[in-house]
Amino acid sequence: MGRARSLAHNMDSNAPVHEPDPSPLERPAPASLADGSRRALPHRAIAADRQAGWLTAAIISGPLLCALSLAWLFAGFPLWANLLLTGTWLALVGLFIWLNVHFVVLEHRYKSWQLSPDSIDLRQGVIWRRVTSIPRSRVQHTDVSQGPIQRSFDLATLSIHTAGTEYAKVDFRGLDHGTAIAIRDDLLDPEGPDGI
Amino acid sequence: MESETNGVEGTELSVSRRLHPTSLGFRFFGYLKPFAIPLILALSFAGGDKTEAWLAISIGPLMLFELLRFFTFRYRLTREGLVVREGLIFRNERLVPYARIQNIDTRQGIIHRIFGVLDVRVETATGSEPEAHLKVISRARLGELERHLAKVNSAETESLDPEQTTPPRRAVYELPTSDAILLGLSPWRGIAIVGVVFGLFAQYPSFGNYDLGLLERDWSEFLEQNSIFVSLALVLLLGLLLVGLSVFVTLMRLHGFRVERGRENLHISCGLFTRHNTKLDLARIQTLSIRRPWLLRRLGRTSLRITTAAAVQESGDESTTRQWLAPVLRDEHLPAFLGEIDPRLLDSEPHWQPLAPSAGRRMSIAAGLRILLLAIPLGITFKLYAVPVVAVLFVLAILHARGAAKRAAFALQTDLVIDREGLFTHRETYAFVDRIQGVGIHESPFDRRHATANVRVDTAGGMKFVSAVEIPYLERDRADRLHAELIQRVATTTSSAPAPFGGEYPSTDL
Repeated sequence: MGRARSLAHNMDSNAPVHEPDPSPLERPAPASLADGSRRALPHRAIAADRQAGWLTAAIISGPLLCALSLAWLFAGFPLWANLLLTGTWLALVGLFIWLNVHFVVLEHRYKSWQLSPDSIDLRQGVIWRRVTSIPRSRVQHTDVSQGPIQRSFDLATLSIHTAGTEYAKVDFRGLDHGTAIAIRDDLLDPEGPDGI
Repeated sequence: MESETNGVEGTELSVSRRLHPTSLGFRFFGYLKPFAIPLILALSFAGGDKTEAWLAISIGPLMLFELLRFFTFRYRLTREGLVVREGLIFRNERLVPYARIQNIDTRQGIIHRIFGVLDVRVETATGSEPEAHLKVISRARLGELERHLAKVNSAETESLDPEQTTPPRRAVYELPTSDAILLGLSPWRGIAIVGVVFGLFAQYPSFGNYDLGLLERDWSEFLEQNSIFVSLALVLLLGLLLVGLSVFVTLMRLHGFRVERGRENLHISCGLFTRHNTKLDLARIQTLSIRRPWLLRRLGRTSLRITTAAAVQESGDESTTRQWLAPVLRDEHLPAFLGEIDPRLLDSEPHWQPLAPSAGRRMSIAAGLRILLLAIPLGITFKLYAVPVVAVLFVLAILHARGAAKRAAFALQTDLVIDREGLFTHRETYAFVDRIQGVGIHESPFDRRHATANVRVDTAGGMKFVSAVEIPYLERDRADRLHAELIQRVATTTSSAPAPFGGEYPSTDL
């Protein structure tokens, strides 16, 4: 299966796709990646973000719920104080639900990458939006890393390191693992980095 | 390894060197320095046996540690590079190849001078700290190190370019004492020192039994008790004292500031009591900023600072990342001096382009909000007296923001991106296009409402989270064009070596 087709497949599918790691021989020719078109992340990045988000929500709101029930049962606070605490907890849970249902979709919508012959452009951010462009000759090295949740969804984080200061390290989360490796290989300039 | 290097290079150079014996003392007092004020206070006021016992407990292990460090620290000049060995249990040997040594910084305080020693940092372009810190070695040992480096480097260049001999260093800039005093009078430095003094008062509100807690006093009560003239005179006296202090601090730091031009580098030295010496490669300069505070501008002078691709980025040690190039320079000498640094700086007159028309209104709103935020503590402290003060400050801040917005501009030249800002202190920051590491467009929710964006140009010189050049409030389409243009130029100019005079791009209108 051609890599370009599998990329399109990843982007269009809604369901989480657990593709096997492509063998190195199947990597695309760099020219097909660096065509300067803007590409979205695979849809399963949303599912991965959701999973991580629910986990965080459980870790934070669970102990708070325990504390809240203890407050109702034993602390002997006045009723209004208990209601206020409960309200705060519910608001927190509401915020988590909004983040995991709605915000992750927005995050996905405003996230894209673009590889051109000159540079790599990374777009991200919902409220504060940013485009970060790193010229190819300024890429010092790149990392492709995977957390446990990302691994189960075959996703990865691409980190680009430069000799700069504000953009010394630019992270891009949620790429398909194979694509991240393909970008990394494409950024490896045969002439070597230019330095400072 | 030792036998290997012994045979090749002259024997005198492969001898292991220890630090100067006074190192122990300097290291030790280095530890005490941050605690100096509390220590003096504790010793003179608290007294008692307990304090001394505590001192002994806390200092004993440090002393032992320093002794161990001193006796295990060795450095050696081998054929490959500078080898630094340290550690007793975990022995660490580091090789710094000569070719990678960018900079030898030296610092010599009064006590250093008495003993004839220097604090030497050997810096390379990478890493978050100096590659080798020789604290302290004697002047003779430094000479040996420098001679050896020069020998190695000249051997390299001669093999490449036999007719080129190292020209003598010539002075390109010297700071007259009168100008150093002028710089001390510059208001912002004064304000910085006010901050330091108030910080000290806040930290140690009572020196002994004297109540100097300026911040704890109820000012409205104070004003009622004393006539307005007495308090005015007091403020004036305090102001004069601060100005004097500012001049003194500036003189201490920058006296005898001198720049010498070598073939590919600059030698900068300054300091009244503590002499700083820095050698930096011209190729390492990332950005240059021209500052003209109001007072200097009226007297036809400017001041120049540069940022370099610094070895020390995280510690915030200002002298290494951002430093004076010429603290005070006469306007008429500016072009010649810039030419010495990089001829591209003189390429052509900057073609200034304005920010978005909405910038003025938005900067005013931001300034107004800042003043209102300041009004809260002022109101709590001074009660009703704060109202006229806040009103005046509010109007001034908005006028200032409007003026600043009108002056703010940017220029895209052949080899430079320049950003201009400031109303009282005019500031122009020049970034070389071939030193750009990344370009970003940032949009806040407010930016989106006004269809503007913030273009950031990142270089290797600067601090974390701060771009070298930042162009705010630019219309979205112009921001996109500037961004695309910059990326394209960076991609085509891959060499970071100074380009010949002129270039293929005209200054671009956006």
